[in-house]
Amino acid sequence: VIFATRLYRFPASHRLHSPDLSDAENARLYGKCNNPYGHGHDYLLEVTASGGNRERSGLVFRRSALDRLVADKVLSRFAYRDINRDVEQFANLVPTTENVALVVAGLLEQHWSEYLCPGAVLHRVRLRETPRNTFEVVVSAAPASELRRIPTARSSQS
Amino acid sequence: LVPTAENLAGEIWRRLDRRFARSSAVLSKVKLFETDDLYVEVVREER
Repeated sequence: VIFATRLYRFPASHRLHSPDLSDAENARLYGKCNNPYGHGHDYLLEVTASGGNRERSGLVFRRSALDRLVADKVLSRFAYRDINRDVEQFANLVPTTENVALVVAGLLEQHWSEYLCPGAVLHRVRLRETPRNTFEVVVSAAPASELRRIPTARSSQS
Repeated sequence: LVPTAENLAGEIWRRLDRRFARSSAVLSKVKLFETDDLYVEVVREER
């Protein structure tokens, strides 16, 4: 099986704080990431796909098509943003990088067919927060019920 | 054949996999970086 992966970098800030917990519990659970003023990361996003029309083009996907999808649906929302305040999906969701990866995967999956040629399949979204912390969503292995739970703009409006 | 990163990785896989034929080791993955922001992997399918 051939997989192709494209990498994107974006800076953003977040604060880990759950309204369902007390201040003391938040401080204990999230430690320094609970700092009231937040903190920033240079995130590294990897988007991996398989399939595609390789007999014809030799490509799993057109690089420019994926670049447009990521720019329109992900970078426009996250890059240089305060994730807690600026990204609607996190109005009621703690922006752990696990949750950010799930939201990004949901956005890509939701809009995939609008940008990518038929046959290319979104396989994995990997998000590196720091050199020691990386999270990945294996989209092609996730059951449909799991994917439906990914909060997206569409589902948060309904 | 169009020399895309995908096709190049596939050809590297074929050439290496032949060399593993008489070995007890199995080629499991080839990963080819084309640029800092694009790489391609060929992964053996699990049966």
